[in-house]
Amino acid sequence: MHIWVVVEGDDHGMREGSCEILTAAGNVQGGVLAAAIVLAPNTEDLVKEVTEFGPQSIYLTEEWPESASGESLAEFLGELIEREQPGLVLAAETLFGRGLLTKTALRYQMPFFPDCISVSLEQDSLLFERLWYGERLSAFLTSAQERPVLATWREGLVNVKKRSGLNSHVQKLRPPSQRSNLIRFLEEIKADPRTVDLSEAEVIVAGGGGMGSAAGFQRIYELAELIGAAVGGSRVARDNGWIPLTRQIGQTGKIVAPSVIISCGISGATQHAFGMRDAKKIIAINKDKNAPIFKIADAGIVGDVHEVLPELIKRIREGKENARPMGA
Amino acid sequence: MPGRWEHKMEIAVPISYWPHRAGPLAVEGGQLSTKEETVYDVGSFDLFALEEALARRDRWGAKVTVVLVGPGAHEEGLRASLSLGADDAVRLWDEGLESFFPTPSIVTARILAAWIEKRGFQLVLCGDKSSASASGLVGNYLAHFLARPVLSRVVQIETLAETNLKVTCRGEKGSRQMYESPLPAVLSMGRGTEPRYPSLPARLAAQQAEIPVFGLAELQLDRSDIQALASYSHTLRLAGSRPKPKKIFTPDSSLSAADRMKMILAGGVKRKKSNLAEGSQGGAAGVYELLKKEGLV
Ligand SMILES: Cc1cc2nc3c(=O)[nH]c(=O)nc-3n(C[C@H](O)[C@H](O)[C@H](O)COP(=O)(O)OP(=O)(O)OC[C@H]3O[C@@H](n4cnc5c(N)ncnc54)[C@H](O)[C@@H]3O)c2cc1C
Repeated sequence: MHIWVVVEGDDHGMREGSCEILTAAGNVQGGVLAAAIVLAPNTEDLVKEVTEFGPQSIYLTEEWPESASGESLAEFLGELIEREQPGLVLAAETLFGRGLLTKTALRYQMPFFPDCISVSLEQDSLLFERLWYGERLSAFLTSAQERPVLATWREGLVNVKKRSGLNSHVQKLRPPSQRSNLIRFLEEIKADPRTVDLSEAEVIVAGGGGMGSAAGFQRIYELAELIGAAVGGSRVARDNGWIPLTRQIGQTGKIVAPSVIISCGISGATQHAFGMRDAKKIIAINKDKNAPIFKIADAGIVGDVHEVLPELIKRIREGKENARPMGA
Repeated sequence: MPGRWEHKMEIAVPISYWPHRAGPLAVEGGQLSTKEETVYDVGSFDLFALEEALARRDRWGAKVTVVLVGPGAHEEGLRASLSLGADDAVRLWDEGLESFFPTPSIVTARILAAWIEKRGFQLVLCGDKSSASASGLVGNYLAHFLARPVLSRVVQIETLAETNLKVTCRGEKGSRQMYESPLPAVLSMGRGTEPRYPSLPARLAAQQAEIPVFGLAELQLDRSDIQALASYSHTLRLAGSRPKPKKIFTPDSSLSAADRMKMILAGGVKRKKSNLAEGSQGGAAGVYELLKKEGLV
């Protein structure tokens, strides 16, 4: 059975969820990863990443229309599916993936199974596993329609594995046409870092035992406020009452996936590191140059947080002062 | 005058009534066991939708009708909604539907659409996810059958003008997205205010209320059409609970044995070559430059 994967990009390249689905699709017994569809602007780098998963074909658009609406993307995908008739089209269960496949399923009358936790082939028919009743039970669903089936796969379940030595045939297609929509998009308001759920935060400043005291931990709040970050911490920080449980990162706390995390006075114990494994950029400050945190950090500062942080805060303040227009 | 409707607006709130997750749930022969007494409840997202509708009513002077697709045993969900303040309740069911139970989202939506179409509600407020299948599809399918605009993950609704709504939806990373939607529309609530508490008199009145039932004939639906829709999604079996799925790290087989060990020890976190800088002065400057590169300072 031919399986397709719709790939989604984010600010850093391919979204982790898409990597997971590409891996999962390649693992379905009796299926082949026939194609990856890259529906995003600036596809060059994405295509390179997608190739590492070895789909037979990669479809992408020649150019990207200024404001490709959800409806036009669905039409683009739907027409492609109608033409090629794959057995299964997968995407990650994200706002984008679900929105696109819902619209495509409705417009082209294809069965759709959202938020699956596994997909398998049993005697030539597709079996979709979903969680029901408040995630208490598993339900196994199937479709009796002789149509391509669409499904989204929940993120964070599949261990990403690349497959080397495979070549993909890249095909550029005409971009989706513009369609008007009854609903008008007005604006997007970014979350307030002070109140956003830690697991959704874009930037995090985290403190650990090395901050020493509640007063010392204030530097964390100060830095976070200055750069618009959310505050997090290790279990030691929570045990000391410097942060509430909702701000603890790790196995027994929150799993975070920010684009930047500044980790201050945190050793980087396995249970803590586990919770920040999806962070894109880790900057660590620790006075012990052998601290495990440095093994996972992208940039490390061996130094005392009580010196580095005040200095850093001073610099940021000065930078802000200087940036202010004359006379303001 | 924006904010108040010249003509009384009618709001439909589709609800579902399913076993509560906190109650006993056992599987027998691939189906929910009927041996143990299962605790049923109106889905929490449905309750958000109902509360939102009731708040609209208090503000706009609308009329709120709850509607459920399901057998007689599910009528209790409608009574619970009445006791919370819904003005009317309707149940849609037919003996001919028994074999499709539990009805897939697309079938539920088709039946709801037939009734809503007939009654011409301007606004349909539903919950993003039912407590059973949590597919989040009923609102979308419903809008499709009604040929109306739809928004999901709705957290706030405001009036812009008599025929327009300003709708706030939950985006990713905790962001909010604002849309302008014309009426009539279907809005699917993704969070909301906790529902009010029913008073005892309201509860007693709800027990007495007449709840009409409409079948396929009244809705001018063909069983064969329903059959065709049901073929889109069929529940083969249920299986007992299993631990919440999590990403399990199996180290990459292309790595050396030593590297695989390290990967396991690191909990699957990739080891990175970090450039270490020493000293507080230089350190702060280094971090500052990094933050600058990320556009944070
Ligand atoms: C079952 C289980 C679950 C757990 N779950 C979690 C979890 O979810 N989250 C979590 O965080 N932990 C968890 N832990 C605890 C975890 O093992 C560690 O004990 C904890 O993460 C350590 O926190 P820490 O690094 O902040 O503190 P410490 O271990 O006290 O380390 C402090 C670090 O700061 C450095 N430091 C000290 N002073 C300074 C200074 N002045 N300047 C710079 N650096 C300095 C030190 O070199 C050291 O590396 C769990 C443990 C178990 C057994």
